[in-house]
Amino acid sequence: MNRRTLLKLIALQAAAFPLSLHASNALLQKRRHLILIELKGGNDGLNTVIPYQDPLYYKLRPSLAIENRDIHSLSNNIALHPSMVEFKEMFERDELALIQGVGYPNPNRSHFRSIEIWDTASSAQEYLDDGWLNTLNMPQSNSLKGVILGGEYGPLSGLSQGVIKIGSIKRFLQQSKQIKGRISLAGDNKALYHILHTEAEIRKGADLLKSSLDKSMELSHRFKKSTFGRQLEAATKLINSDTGIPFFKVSLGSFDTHTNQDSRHSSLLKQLSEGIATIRQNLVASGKWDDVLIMTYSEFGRRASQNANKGTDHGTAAPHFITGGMVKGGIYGNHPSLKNLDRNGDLVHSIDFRSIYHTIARKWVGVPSKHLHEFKQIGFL
Amino acid sequence: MLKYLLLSIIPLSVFATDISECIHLLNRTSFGVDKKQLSVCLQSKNYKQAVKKILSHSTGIEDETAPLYAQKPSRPHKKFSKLNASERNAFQKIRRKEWAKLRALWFKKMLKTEDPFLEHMVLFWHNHFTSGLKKTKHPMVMYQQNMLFRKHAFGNYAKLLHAIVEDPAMLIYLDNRVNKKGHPNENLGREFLELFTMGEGNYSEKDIQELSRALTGYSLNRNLKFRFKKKLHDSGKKQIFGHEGNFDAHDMIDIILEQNATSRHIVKKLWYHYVSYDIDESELGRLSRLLKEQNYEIRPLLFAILTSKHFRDPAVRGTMIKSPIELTVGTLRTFGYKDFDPVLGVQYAKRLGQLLLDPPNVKGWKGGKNWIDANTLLLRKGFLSKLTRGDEMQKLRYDLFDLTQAGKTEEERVAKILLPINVYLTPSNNFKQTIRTILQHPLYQLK
Repeated sequence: MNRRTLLKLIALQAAAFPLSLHASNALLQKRRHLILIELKGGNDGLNTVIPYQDPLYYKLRPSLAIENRDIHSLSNNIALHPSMVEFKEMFERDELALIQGVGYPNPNRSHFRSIEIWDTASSAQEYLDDGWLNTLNMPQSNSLKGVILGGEYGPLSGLSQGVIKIGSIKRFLQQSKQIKGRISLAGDNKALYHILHTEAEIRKGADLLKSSLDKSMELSHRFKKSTFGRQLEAATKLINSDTGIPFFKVSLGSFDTHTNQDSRHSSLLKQLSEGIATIRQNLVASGKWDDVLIMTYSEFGRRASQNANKGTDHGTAAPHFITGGMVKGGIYGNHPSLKNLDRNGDLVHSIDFRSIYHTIARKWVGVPSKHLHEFKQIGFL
Repeated sequence: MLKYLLLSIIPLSVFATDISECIHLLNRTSFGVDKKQLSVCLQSKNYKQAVKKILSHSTGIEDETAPLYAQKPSRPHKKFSKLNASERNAFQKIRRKEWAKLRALWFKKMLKTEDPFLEHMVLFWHNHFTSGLKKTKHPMVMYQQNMLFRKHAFGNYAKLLHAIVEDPAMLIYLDNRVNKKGHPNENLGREFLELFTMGEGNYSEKDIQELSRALTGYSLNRNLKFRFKKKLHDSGKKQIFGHEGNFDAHDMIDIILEQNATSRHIVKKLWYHYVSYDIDESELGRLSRLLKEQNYEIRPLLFAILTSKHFRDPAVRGTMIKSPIELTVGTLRTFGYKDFDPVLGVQYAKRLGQLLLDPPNVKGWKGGKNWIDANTLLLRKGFLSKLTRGDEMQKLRYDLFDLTQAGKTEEERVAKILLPINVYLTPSNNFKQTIRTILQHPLYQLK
């Protein structure tokens, strides 16, 4: 490319990214938000939602089983881990949906591959490029589509406009000062296009975050000063300041507890439970709790029996949680049987994770989701 | 400084090779553009001569003594399981320090070497035959693997394959120590076919099983040296790609090397690394045949790639995204900042998504567009702006720009060396400002 063609290109490009403003879906109209919480590394479902009446549980986990006296029972046969006292309260308020035995057929036990399956809503044999939220047919908007506050792009990965990944809002705003955000076309140079496009995203994101944070008020309830706490705080502030950003992703972990699981797992679940309760308190105070849906996900659960190092190895099905002001709380699905394990000694799933996605796409985001149709919706919304 | 620069400019006519073409060649093979390399290229009789020179420079042989921490396995004074919690912590702290030292050692080599193409190829092989410290734990084995890549960097791919199935880091990384007769572990066998040799879709599950059987018993002794454990080896009959026999892994490698898919796979991988993210079928065919005719010698293949009409097409310049190592090491080399703290260099590259000696998984770094997102682009620009902030600029050297022709504007001369595509910049009359502007330019992310 010589200088003349480059100049010509720059002249041609003035209005390269038209922004149309037809917000017609439920999520944008009602300014609804979805917070995805990735439990990184594979959360141990059996010690999160404990089948405390089942003698097999104690047999499979001679030194890892959680003692009866500390647990928070949800029904005659299952109870929450002792660290999750806030979850128990939300459950009693009917705002917490527990979905049991979530997984998919022919489960893959590699972190890398299994999270890819969850992120792209593929089957075990399918290889898809785009995150499942990115495949939803969202109308164009001049706001950001999503903010990644922890971990990878995951459910929002793939080619799309309007998703930014930031470490901390403050640092992001400071660093983005040097980005000019001139949108100029790159001819057929895909690499240059990618850079320019990313620059434009940064500029757009920075402008939006700045203007909304200028309006934002102090939070009524403080978050813990942990990495996870800061991610939740950023998401809460952005929701409170009416940015209209639909998707947020945060991540907690590592839950990859192969050795000495007990104390680490317990502290992670505590962070999860406390963190979500703090979001709730803040959003109830600002009147936005009904506009927010929070869901957990993870690449897999862990093996039913403990290993030789007081930990657990990669497994399959696990429970997940959904909460928010509009959620119909309760227990969905059955606890996986500890008797009928698969040939690897893993729990067999009864609810496909894509049923959760389908329900959220239709009932919360309010858009059709072609490739999720075959998965039955669940009644939590 | 400006005046000095203008006075010392060498007239263009003394150079035989086109400067833009030299910049392109170095950008793609040598971590940025350093003065010495650029002079060598410019003074070559013609372009092919220049490619020959940078290739012959790279002998792949290096004399050095391993640092102490890489001379023996990294172990605590007594059995790990017998340590109490605080002893464990202390030991792990020491080991993490050794890891950091080893990463920094390599970064420093890349920074200081007179043969950057060699380091570039070592990085290529590291990303091809992946292993990482987090899994292998012992700096010794990763150091030795790195030396193996150095030895064979421009040598023979077949030899490298035969060596890699006896490489301690690889045998640990892909769990081959637990691959035993009657209890096969297919991790190495599977990746060997999918990633190291033939590529997906060119073999069956049965082939993986048979290769894995052939790999049983390829293990390590207590000192983490390769040991063929005959008792664990399955010496029975195996079939693969129409051959049958009591094959061991080396027999199987010879059969795998006969397959066209293997030469095609390795050509593709080098092409994506050095030329562009696509390759056309006729070029792929030509180069794979060449590689086989040359008995898998890498140097003639690289010569053919770097002198191909595709690589020399000006349209290919600036169409690839620099990796974090290329951006950090390359910028430091371009500005002669060879004393930059390598520990810090490793840290920056890590934040940008490339932690040396720990690729994210067995597939290696995805590369290309995946290097850049809103987060990493900001971090890249932050790194570049820190290097050129205030006093820091005095630590940089600018004599490289003496090599460009006189008569043009300062901006144009500097941009010609720093950016892969010629571009018009508004004159600023301030040399430092020019450098800053060019480093922040979107094209600076490209090579």
